Amino acid sequence: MSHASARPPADQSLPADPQLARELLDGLAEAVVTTDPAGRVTLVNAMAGRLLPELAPGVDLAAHPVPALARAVTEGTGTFDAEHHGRRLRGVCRPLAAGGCAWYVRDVTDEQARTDALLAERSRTAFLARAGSRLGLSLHREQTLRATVTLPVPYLADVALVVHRSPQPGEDLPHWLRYADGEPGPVGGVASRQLAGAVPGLVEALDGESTDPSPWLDAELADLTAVLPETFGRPGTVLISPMLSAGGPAGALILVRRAGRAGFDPRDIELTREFAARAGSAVAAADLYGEQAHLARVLQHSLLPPQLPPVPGVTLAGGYRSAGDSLRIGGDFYEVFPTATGALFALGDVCGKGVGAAVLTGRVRQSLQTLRLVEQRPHELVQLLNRALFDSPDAARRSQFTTLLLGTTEPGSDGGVRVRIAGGGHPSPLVVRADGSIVEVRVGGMPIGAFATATFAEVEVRLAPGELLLAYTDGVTEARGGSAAVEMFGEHRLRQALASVAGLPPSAVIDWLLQLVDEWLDGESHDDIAMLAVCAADPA
Amino acid sequence: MTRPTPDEPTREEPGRATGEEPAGTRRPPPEDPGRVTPDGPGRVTPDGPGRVAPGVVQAYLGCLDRADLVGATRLATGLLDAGASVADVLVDLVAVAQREVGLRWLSGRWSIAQEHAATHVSEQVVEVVVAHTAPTDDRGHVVLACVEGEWHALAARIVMEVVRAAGWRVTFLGASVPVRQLVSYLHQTGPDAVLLSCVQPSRLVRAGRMVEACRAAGVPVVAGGPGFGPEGRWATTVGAAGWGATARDAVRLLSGPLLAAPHTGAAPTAGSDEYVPVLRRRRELVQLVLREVTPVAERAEEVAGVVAQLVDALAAAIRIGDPQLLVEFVRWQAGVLDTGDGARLLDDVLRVCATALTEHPRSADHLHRARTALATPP
Repeated sequence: MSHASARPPADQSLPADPQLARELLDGLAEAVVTTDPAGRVTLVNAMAGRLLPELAPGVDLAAHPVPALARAVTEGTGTFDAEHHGRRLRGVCRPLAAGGCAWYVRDVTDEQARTDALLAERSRTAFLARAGSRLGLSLHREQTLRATVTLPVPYLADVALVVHRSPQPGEDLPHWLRYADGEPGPVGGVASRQLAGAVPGLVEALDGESTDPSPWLDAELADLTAVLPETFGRPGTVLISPMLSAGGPAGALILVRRAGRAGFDPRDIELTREFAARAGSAVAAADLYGEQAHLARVLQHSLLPPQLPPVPGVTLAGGYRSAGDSLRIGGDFYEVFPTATGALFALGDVCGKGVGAAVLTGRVRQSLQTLRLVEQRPHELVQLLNRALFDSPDAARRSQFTTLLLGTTEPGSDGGVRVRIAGGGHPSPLVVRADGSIVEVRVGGMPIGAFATATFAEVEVRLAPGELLLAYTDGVTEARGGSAAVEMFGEHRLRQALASVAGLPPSAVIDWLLQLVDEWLDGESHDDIAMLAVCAADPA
Repeated sequence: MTRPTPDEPTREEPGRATGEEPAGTRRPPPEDPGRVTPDGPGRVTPDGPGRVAPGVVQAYLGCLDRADLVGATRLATGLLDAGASVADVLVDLVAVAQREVGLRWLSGRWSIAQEHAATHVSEQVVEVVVAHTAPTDDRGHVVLACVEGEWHALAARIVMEVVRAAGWRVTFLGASVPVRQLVSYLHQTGPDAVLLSCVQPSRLVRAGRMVEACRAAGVPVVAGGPGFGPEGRWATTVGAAGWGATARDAVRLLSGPLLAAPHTGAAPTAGSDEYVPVLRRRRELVQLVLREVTPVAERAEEVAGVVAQLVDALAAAIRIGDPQLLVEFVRWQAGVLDTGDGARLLDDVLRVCATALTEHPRSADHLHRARTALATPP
């Protein structure tokens, strides 16, 4: 059974008592105004008297006592939303059965204020969230500064400016970076010495004094125009905030509004202070990262494979991939030194990987660099190197060893190249003969740096013009990949690959091998990889 | 900080195997130009017609054919002396010729040795031509990288030189740049933009990851190369700020407003995440196909390579929401597998993949379209 059918018709239950109807109308929180079919007011309740005092029975609603209401009546929109006597009013019109209509008008001033405040708060939160994520993106100082000046425009200001000191020692003039609404990107430069003095509060902000940011008018800001866009004109209001960070002030953020735009209200100031602090922390983090990265880069540079020198009679190429991608240093290495008759070359693999291995690699390379000055015969040099490494402090305790191929080239009698190679426990190099066949050069020997009594071996191989010798580390052949991701690349594939590029210059051979191994790995992790190709130059 | 290969990392791919290749040798994918022809029929080159006369390009190709470095260099420097800019010579002569070299290799007219020799000559010509550039204003710093897995660097090298001649400081990270290395470099140097080259559409998922990484490091990406689709239509789908067909386009894009804010941070979301499970099953699919198709032992690795690339292309098609990517890939692959049974082999591969991926509706749909396209000549 439905309620609708059980309930008697609504009009039957109303008492025909005008006094009661009046009392009910006056008790409403809504203003009620009724009109006759001609549009004249017939009734106003108590609330209507308060909100719309101009209206009384007999007044023509379409005439002008309440403009917004009059417009709604004339245009027949049936609703209105307007300020009236300082209150925000919202009205809706309903037709009456007897002709004419009733306007119900609500005072939404407080509601509107709450909504506005909520929206403003929401946009501030959104701004801070956006600022947080953008400032968090980069670890680079300039990028971070660029984000700092672009973010507040145009939401907080028409021009944003950062005045900061360069982290480079010896630069005492402040730098500035600016972004103005409508410009394609931030621009910057070195500030004059006068700038800081000319802008009140800037010196304090740069010194990190937590002065309360406060807006003021532009009377004394003549020198600021040097760093504002030419067409900007007189600034309206200016707000300066220190960009504080744990390590001291990172700079000062200057927000400029055009003349004519409203000044900074307290919430804007609070927001700007918060933003400037976040930007300061981001710049400080970027500076810290920059220092560390610089340190890493300098060290890394000394540990990266070298540029190969030109060597008469041979062409050379090296290839290297470290196990880790970001630092690109590891335990494999190669090295080439020119000699009186040709070159001394080395390719080796220090046990372990990453930075630890790279440090030992550096020691091996450094020792070679020195020892080659007194000894250039491969077998004797390997023995010397073994002693040098074995004697170094902690060598035994760390039980780190190195496998190595060490060779010399000199012109052969037949126009080719004579190569002598001494070995210490390293995979045998391969030679690509002129007829395209691939020959293994067995060297042997024991790993170096592990035993005082280690024995080593030396072999000699002749390369005819165009023939190529490839020395490689086991990172190549032991690269695991393929369709099952567990199969090793293997010497078989290496030989096939070499045969397919026989006759090409060493750099092309190395690139092709690196590419093949890379594709074989197909994204799987791998050990360090190093290759060195020595090709007897064609006399032509 | 370039790739730690001490030689200039601009070697064109050496191992374009031909019919003489030993059995089972991995056949490298060709450099794209012959495939998604950037200047093919119906294409409007954004920067207008080439500024070097077709006759000169033909003469230059003649020099490449004879591996005549002296003649090629003389042609290039002659253009410079006649008033052509470095960009004109690199874009309208060397790059155009290199595209033709790719086509000649693809159609079997040139052997791998000829192709390599020609590329070598062009590299030397680039060296000579760029020696004519005077240092200009520092308009900013740009990093140039090839998408991980791509090894063709000559085209990227030309972009580097043209952008450099236009006044930018360019760092070329080399071919096949790992994402982590790129990100680490971006944080260290904070460049204004990254130029990312992608030649093969099947690498779009990787390219997309690199774009995401750059955006996350606060650096906008300008995409280049046919890998981003005809007219670069997939470039913005993966979050790039713009796309250029030539080095000159790259300069134009860099000169426009490249404000970081709209092109950094979170990348636009992919239309469907279905490419993620598809990629995860890549190896499984390769093995499944090998079991079902049972190629002769010498061809097993070649077939495995084809399947792996096909899965990449399928994933890329899903990622950017355009099945045409897979269709084009399959058509091209059918042409490369020139042994006569290429189409049949591909059809088998597509069928096995479709059966294995039935629970993925987009994969099934795309694979079906690809099979239909394979059965109907273009």
